[in-house]
Amino acid sequence: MSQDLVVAKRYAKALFEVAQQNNNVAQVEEDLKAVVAAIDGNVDITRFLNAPNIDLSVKVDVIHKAVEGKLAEAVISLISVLIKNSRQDTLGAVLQAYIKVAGEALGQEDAVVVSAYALSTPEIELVADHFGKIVNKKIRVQNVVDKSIIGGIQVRIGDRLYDGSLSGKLARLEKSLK
Amino acid sequence: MSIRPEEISTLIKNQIDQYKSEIQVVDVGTVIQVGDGIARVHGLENAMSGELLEFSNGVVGMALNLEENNVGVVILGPYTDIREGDQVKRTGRIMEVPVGEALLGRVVNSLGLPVDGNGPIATTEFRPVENNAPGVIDRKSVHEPMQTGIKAIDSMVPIGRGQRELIIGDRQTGKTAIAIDTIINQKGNGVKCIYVAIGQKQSTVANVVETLRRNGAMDYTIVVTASASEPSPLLFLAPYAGVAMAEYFMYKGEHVLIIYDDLSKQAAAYRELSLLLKRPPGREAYPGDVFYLHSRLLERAAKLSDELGGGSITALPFIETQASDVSAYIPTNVISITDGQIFLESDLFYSGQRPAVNVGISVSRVGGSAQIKAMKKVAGTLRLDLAAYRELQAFAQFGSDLDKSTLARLNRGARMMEILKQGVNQPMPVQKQVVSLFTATKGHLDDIPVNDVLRFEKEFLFYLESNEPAILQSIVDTKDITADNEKALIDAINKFKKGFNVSA
Repeated sequence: MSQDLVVAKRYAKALFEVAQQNNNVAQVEEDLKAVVAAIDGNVDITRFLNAPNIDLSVKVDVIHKAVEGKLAEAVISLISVLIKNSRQDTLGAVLQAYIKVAGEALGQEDAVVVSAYALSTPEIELVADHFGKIVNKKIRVQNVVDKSIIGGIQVRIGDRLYDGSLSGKLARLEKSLK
Repeated sequence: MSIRPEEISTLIKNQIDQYKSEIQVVDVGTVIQVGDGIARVHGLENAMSGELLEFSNGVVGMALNLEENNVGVVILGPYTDIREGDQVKRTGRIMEVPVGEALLGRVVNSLGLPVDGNGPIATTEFRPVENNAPGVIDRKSVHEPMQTGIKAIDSMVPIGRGQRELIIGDRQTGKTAIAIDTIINQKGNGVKCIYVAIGQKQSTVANVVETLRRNGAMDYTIVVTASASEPSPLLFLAPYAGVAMAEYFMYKGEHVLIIYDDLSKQAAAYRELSLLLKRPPGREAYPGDVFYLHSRLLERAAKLSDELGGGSITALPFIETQASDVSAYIPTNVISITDGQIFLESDLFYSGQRPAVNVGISVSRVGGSAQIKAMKKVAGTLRLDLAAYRELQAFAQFGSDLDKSTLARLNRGARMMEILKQGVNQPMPVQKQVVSLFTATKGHLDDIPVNDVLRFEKEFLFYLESNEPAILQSIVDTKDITADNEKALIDAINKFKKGFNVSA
């Protein structure tokens, strides 16, 4: 697992550099997300990619034919390289690492905002704006609805958790009363 | 003082205001693997080495390994309800323990929490468990004696305040007894004692605490215990927690005695941790930094310079050997770190020579300058005489015809060995030790049968105390054997001998 992460970082960095040269960093990210979603969503594809009795070149060919023209050239090449190196398992990790590398380079970061009810677009913009100032980066908000936090919001940017939820406050209150 | 209701209302109003705006900002990670007291945590990229981390169930851990994409954490507490995927919070604090006078008389665990059932401890200060040792400029050479109250040690392997003296021996050779006697002997002289029990049986620790309490020694003693049932991180931490508590007193200018009982168990606990954290094993499967483990601990024992208050920490680390093998890894390491060692031998122990100190190979590299003059005078030749005695004794076992001088030497040696015997929990003040050793080394016991020597000593000291207290007092005052008190002492011996009945 940890070995895979290290490997993924290397691939992601290379992919990012290629994307930067071609000026399509954002598109590569979108495409990579789509590929990962497609593979994760279909067990058969994973099985096919991992089957040891299918020749590597066949796998590459099939993937090429399936996605030709639909995806950025860099992404298709990445998948081919991964398959050739028997690293297709790390695709998900490559995506995570890519988002991080790209975010660092472009000054943007993803924030997971947990709220009890779905946030409206202006609310999301408000959160993005506010936290963007705190971390000095452009924030892309991903809204997750979780009733168990009762009220307020929890914002997680990278490793940092801004806990303004009611459940968190209650937990702290409980602890201080112990 | 009257309290106005408006004030309270304002306070509550403020609190409500602040409560609303309170947002907790923490760095978090997730547990990706847990087992055997170790957790691996993903995230926490800014965690510091040695930082305290909090698991979602409230148990704390300490970050020991910072790796490229995870953090190796030792869990300081029960780890059965920590699961994969749990959230781990940074606390921003380096591992620390409570310190202060309130700890005296208490039994605490490695985290400084009470385990004696006497309620919470009202401490206000904390000290980090890992702290730098005082530097060269901050130190002063050892010059005050740290009396153990044990004749064999105070005479031939004297310990000074600020010294680190290793006590090494097989199991069941009376190591812990020396520790307890030394603590009991500090009564009334202002030295604070810390007894760190590492990997001991709970019953043994309970016994030690009971003995100390019975002898009124708990008032100035802290017992830090990480017993055998505790997870290994706590065993590894216990000595550092103990020395952090000791440093509080040292930097206040007080004198502290700290006993680590024993460091071989700590090394074994650290080996366990290191192997589970996948650090490469070295000799005897100990990790590469096991020397540093002990050297950084023992370097914190020091005698501070007068500018820093002149406090001291005297460390008595214990090492348990297997079958008297002192060339194993941990014993050689600790021998080379400390300022001398006291060897305890099971052969001596079983032949009735208790404390079973082998004075031939026990040394103290710095304690000599901390001995009082009187002791130096009576004990100066003791070591050589005993060495000569042992040599002759081995030789005389075969021979039958011995000349007079050899016989006299053997006689004297047997009495000297006898006078070095001492019961447990009977530490002896230095003036009495001087008198006892004086009688033996100057030949006043030569006409007393060997099996009467200890009775003679006991009764003579009692006689001195009740009839000639001036002699003992003059040794205390002058710290020397002057011509005057020597004459008085010899007179007293001769007078007492007339009334001493040799048993049949």
